[in-house]
Amino acid sequence: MDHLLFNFGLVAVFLIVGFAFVYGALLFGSLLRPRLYGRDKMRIYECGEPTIGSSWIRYNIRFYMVALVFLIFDVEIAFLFPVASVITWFRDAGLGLLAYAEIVTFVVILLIGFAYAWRYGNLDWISPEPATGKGVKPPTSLLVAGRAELALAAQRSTAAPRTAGGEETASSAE
Amino acid sequence: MPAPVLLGELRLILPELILCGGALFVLVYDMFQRRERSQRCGVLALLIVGLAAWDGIRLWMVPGVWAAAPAQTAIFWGMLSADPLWAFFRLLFLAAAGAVILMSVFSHELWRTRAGEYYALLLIATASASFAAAACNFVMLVLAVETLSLSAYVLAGYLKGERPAAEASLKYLLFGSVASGVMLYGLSLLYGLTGSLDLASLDRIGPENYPVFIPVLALVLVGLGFKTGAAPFHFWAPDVYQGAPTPVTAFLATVSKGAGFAALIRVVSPHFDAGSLAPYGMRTVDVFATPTDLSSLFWLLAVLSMIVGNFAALRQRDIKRLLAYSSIAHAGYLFVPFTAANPSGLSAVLFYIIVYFLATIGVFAGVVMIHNRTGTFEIGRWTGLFHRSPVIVVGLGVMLWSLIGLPPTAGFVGKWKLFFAPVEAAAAGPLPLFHYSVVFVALLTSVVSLYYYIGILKVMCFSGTDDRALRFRSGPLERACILALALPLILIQLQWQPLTDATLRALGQPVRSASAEVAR
Repeated sequence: MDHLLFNFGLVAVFLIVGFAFVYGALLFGSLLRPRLYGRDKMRIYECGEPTIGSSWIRYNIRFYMVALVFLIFDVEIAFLFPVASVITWFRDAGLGLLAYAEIVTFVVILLIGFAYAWRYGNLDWISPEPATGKGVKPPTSLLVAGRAELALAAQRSTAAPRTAGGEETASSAE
Repeated sequence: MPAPVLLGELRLILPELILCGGALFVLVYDMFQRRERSQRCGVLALLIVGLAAWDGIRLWMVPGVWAAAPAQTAIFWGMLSADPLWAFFRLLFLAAAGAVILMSVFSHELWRTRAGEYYALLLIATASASFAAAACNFVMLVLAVETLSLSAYVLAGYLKGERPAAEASLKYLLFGSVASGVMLYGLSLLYGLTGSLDLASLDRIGPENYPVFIPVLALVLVGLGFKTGAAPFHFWAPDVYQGAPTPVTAFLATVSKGAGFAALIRVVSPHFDAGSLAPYGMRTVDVFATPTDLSSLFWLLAVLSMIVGNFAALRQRDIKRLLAYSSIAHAGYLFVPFTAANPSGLSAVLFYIIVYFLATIGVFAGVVMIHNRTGTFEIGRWTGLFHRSPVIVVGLGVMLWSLIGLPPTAGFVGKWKLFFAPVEAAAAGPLPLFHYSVVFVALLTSVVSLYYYIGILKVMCFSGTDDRALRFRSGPLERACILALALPLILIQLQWQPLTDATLRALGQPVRSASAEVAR
């Protein structure tokens, strides 16, 4: 604590050695290795398999929805374990009801999140019903969509007209 | 046995509990509503904020709650500080949130969206802003600021179908996460220096660590500078302010910015004795008195914000972008007393925050009203509004007048107090040039701001009537709202002593007598 600057000096030494090690090795290798570039060599390496299509595709948003819903239960488990380990201490201290009320509050808040996802159709994988009900349906899962449909979807999203006040586009907001 | 103590302490955070519980209730309520009735959530949210404010007023009025010494105001094992400063900011944030909710209810931008989650997020953001004003532990500070930020990211992009909204949300998220990442890095280094997460532990840093300490505090300032929208960290502001729905913009310009300043005051205010932040060559035992110290950082933030904000605003044609730059400039004005670091400067900051909240909320309310009718944020198309609705334009004029800081409004008193703090320090301290320079820049840029604020009024009053403006006619409720926000600005100018007393009380400073204040 007294000579903290000196400790930072140690860190600096490690940084310098680390950088020198990595970039030195790269530099050394670039001096030694032969330079032979071909079409096959410049291709994207994908675990030895031939690559299929572009990696710039849009994933279906529902993957993230499911991940978020999973997070609700994940967090619940992660926080319930520590409580379970000390609940006997609270019971012996005569505060069992307090601990119980606290954890029930916590679970109820998480359940509201789950109910929210359920109510607005984030758990339905097959037929997502647009919340507005009217107008266009969103394109079906982009992962299984054909190339033409993909292009169409991309075109549609870039060519979406923007109005001055934005009131017209707001109707398709959800 | 900590638990019974904890139950008693829950009483002190009742307004926040009401807000958080209310947010959940709004969310559940909206689940069982048909889509057409979703807007009722706004009224519900307004009731919840009113309830919280009622309890907030009680916590502000009851003197016994914070009669104890500062060390005893810490609740929840030193996480929050239940003192008047918190009660002050809580009431301020609740009032602003209430106004924002009222704006949202009437804003045409939000009519077609589902309202439940919007108001739930707004309530949670308000509660976390209040917690940020109370945090006296770095973990609590980060938690509160992050909850506020995360809600704000979603709110900024609430108009899902619109590209500017998506841009605003993404930009805000990226800038915000980098800023809070830098702040967290600074805090981790701070923890390495002191071995404690208490804000009070800053006192324990020895002189041998100053060379590390100041850069570390600069890292922490990055996060808070982002929240307050100060100049080197302001790049998100124009796009986010423009893309977000107008009520959300008002929320960002007031509550979010105010939370940043509240957290900043928490961090530095214990060191605001006369001269203890003073720069250059005042080597005392105090942590802030080093050659390259915190005052110089604040000087830089203030000067940069004022210059960038005011000069960039000159070229804006979109009212929301203009107000974004104006809010950057006002962050700069609010940083001016931080360079002086004297107690009177701190009360000036609180005073000006009230005035700024009133004027900004009022301007945004006017913007919502005008946009509802004309459908445009372009200032150039607001021609001739004065002939259609003089009340709104006059009300808007008072608020803009106050933002400039011209005499018949509260903005003048506020700015006078702000800029007087460095003058006071210059008279007492060894560094007149340092203090006078920031005041000089502040006055000069205030003159610059005159141009673009008056420009708005000029378009509305002296240009010919546009056909869009023909559709404009304000309702009685709108006129009442604008006047209710404009009148206090005039009244504060006539009698500002009660407000000064409130700020002094919030800071725990002795309340001066009225005659002494007038004599100054």
